[in-house]
Amino acid sequence: MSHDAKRDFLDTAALSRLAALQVSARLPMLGSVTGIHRSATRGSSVEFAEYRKYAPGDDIRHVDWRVYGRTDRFYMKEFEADTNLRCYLALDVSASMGFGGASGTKFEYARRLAATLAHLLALQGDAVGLLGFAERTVREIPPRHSPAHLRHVYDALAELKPAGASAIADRLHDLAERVRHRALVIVFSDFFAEPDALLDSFQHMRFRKHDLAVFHLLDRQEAAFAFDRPIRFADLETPFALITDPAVIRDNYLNEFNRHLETLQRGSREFQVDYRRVFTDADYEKVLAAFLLDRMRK
Amino acid sequence: MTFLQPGLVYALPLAALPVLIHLLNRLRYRTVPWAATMFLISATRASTRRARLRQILILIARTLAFLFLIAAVSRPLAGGWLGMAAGSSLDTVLVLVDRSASMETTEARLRTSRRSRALSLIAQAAGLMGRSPRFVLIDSVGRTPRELASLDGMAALASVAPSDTAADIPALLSAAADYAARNRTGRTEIWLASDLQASNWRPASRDWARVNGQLGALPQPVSLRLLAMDGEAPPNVAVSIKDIRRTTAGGKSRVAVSVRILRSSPDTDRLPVTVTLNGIRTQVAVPVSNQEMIWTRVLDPGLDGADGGWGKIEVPADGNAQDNACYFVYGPAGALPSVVVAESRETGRFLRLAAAADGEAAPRDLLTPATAGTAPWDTAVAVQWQGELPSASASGAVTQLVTSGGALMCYPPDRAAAGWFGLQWGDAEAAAPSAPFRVTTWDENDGLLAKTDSGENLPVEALSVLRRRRMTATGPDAAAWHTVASFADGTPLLIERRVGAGRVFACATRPGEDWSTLGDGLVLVPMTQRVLAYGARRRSDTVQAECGEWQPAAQAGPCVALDDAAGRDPARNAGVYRCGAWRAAVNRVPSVSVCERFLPGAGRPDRWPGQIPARAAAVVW
Repeated sequence: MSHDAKRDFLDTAALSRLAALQVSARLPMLGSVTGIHRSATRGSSVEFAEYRKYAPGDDIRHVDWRVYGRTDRFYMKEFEADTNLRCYLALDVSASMGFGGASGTKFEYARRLAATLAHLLALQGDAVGLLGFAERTVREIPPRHSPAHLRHVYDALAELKPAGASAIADRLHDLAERVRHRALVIVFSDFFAEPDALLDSFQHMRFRKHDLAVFHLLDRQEAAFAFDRPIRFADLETPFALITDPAVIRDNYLNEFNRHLETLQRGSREFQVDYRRVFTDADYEKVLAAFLLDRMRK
Repeated sequence: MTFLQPGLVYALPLAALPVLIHLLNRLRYRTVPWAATMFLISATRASTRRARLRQILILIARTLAFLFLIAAVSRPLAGGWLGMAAGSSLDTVLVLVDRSASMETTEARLRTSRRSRALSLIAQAAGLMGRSPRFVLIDSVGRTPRELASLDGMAALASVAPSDTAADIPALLSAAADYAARNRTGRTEIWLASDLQASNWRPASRDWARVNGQLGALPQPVSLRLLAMDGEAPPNVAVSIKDIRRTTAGGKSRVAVSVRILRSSPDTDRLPVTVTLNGIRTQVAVPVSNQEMIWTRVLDPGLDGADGGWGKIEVPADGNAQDNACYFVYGPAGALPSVVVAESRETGRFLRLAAAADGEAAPRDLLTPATAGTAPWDTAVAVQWQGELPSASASGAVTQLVTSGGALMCYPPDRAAAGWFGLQWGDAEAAAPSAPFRVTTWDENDGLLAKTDSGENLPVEALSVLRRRRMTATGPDAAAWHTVASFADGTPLLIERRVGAGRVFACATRPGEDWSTLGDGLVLVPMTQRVLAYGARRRSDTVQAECGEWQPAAQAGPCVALDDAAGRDPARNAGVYRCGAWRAAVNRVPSVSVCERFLPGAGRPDRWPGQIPARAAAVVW
């Protein structure tokens, strides 16, 4: 299999069109090198941040003497520090992500989004890592900002396949604990799990000062549930199967489904999680552009 | 509960079809891999109870729909309390009208004919019905069901007009039962208007068993309502043609007409009779003494009518206008050549003498079966045959003679053998001279052994038969033979059948010293002369027929009444007609003049002929 075939999730035309945009962190980051993102610490950039009272031990080079001249008080002049970004692309590779219709599976869509974001992050010098998980972590690549690192990410994306059950809440809790520095965590999943557990993991992530963005990937069939004859629904993640008349349960199904979406959306808003609901028949380039522009505005 | 389409009741298990389809559908699912199973589970949990109830209700509704559909198609008829609750209106009324000539009797209290009165009563009864059912008229002449929108104008229909026919009531009821069976008439009543003439009802006929069987086999109960028009009849005189013969008197050709006069009340001793011969009317005062008598009138046809003509005998108008006239036609005068074929010269001699009794029709030669082929078959009208069957050529000639209207009289051969037209001659049976076979039963009213013109019986009971051969009818037409006379032990003496336009007779004994006293001539001569008279039809272009029993041949063309009476049809109306080259005298059936009723008085249901089926209740109005 050639590299091109393996990396069919990359669209060079789309990459070049999206290159004008940048992946911005909504929260200050703690980077090891200078970058385009606001740092959590005061640094030496030209951008003024704030005044604060002098404390013994402060570097007197940062005392604002003009203010001292007007007020006879020492105020320290602080400046924003710009740093680089650590980004974790967390990709749900449980079997449920393998569901899809003519427009492709949710996994394929997620992989395309992740690959494109990885490219953009590497392009702007940020460190990008990859986490493929299902019930357990399937593949993990720690964030690096070397250009050669991007190839490892692509290779890993190409090798991932949807399989197994999902334990997304546990995996997000695990990630929140393991990543010590602030990071941008972008999760791609269908989030078919208990919403309370999911929101707990979101809260945990935010508690650890991570900037969390989630792409909630859905297929139209799942949202419409437009079946007419009795059907045996075979669960993708377990041997469980259910024979039922869709017409009979449709209303209740849609109620449950929409309630789940609403709970997630409301919880995400509450925990300041950048929540994006995406149907797999949508143009991923537009989805990404909207995502990037929104973040740049904030 | 009964069903008009009982076969469809077996389709009731089809009501389980929706349940079956539901179960099959549940088995005929397709498998879809699914990711959002967690919502399916919770949705199913929430829906199960309500969905199950909904599914059960839908299944019940579908099953009920099937049941109603099947019930509707099988057309149930509700009786008893259920029927009363559902309503008691009728679906169909079959109106059967007896159009026999006797229904034209005008009863003094009614001042109209029984038929007209019956039609009026039926129309009144129909008018009293709340919801108008479907009315179907069947008359005794055509017996063809005809649906009517209402009975208001029924009396004006040609199919209930007066006729000179007899009525076959069992056949009329059979036609009604046929119609009810074929058309699924629902709740049905049969209204039968009749004057209960025994000759029309034939209460002893085996046909009643068949009719009652038909009525009993109907899927729905049928009520029979009999409108008995059997009030007291006014005085009536009926005339009918007994016989027509060409005779010679003083070297002149004559036409002898024998007329049967039947009176219901012998209240006068002279009866004015109008005789019409070829359009010329003559009135004669006929002395009458008995209630029934034969009156013979010898008529001079004149030069114009010598080669054939027609006539009419009339009596004054009385209680029934339909039986006041009778008609006759006659052909040219001439000898009636016949053939005698006999194995026994003794028997042949007797038969030849009997055939030549009037001096005009003496057969030329006495032939044997072997020489029968030389007989003048083209001109012969009758043949007397004693012996076994002949060669093929002679056999074909005899068959052609009979089918074209001639007559064949068969006498026993010398040994047991096959006879003509399915007849089988059995072994000879002999009786002691001191105890010969005696004839005890014969038809004295009609046929070869009927009474003479003067009303005297032939001395049949005086015949002494020492030897006879049993006659057995075989073949597919065995039932066509019927017995005219029989011995004391029931063995037939004389049997008869129709073959084509002709008649075949067979006698179990023959004239001769060893056989019987037939050779004395008192029975043999009139019997042979009547055989010749039957055969004369083959040569004549005239037909003397009974109304309703004769139809002109299709090739004869339309029939025209010779007595200038318009609008008459030989199938329904008595009269004289010319149908192409044929002249036909059509008379009403003589039996309809015999005023004998099988249901005296108002009649009672328990006197209905045969066993009324339980499902067909009979009611007399």
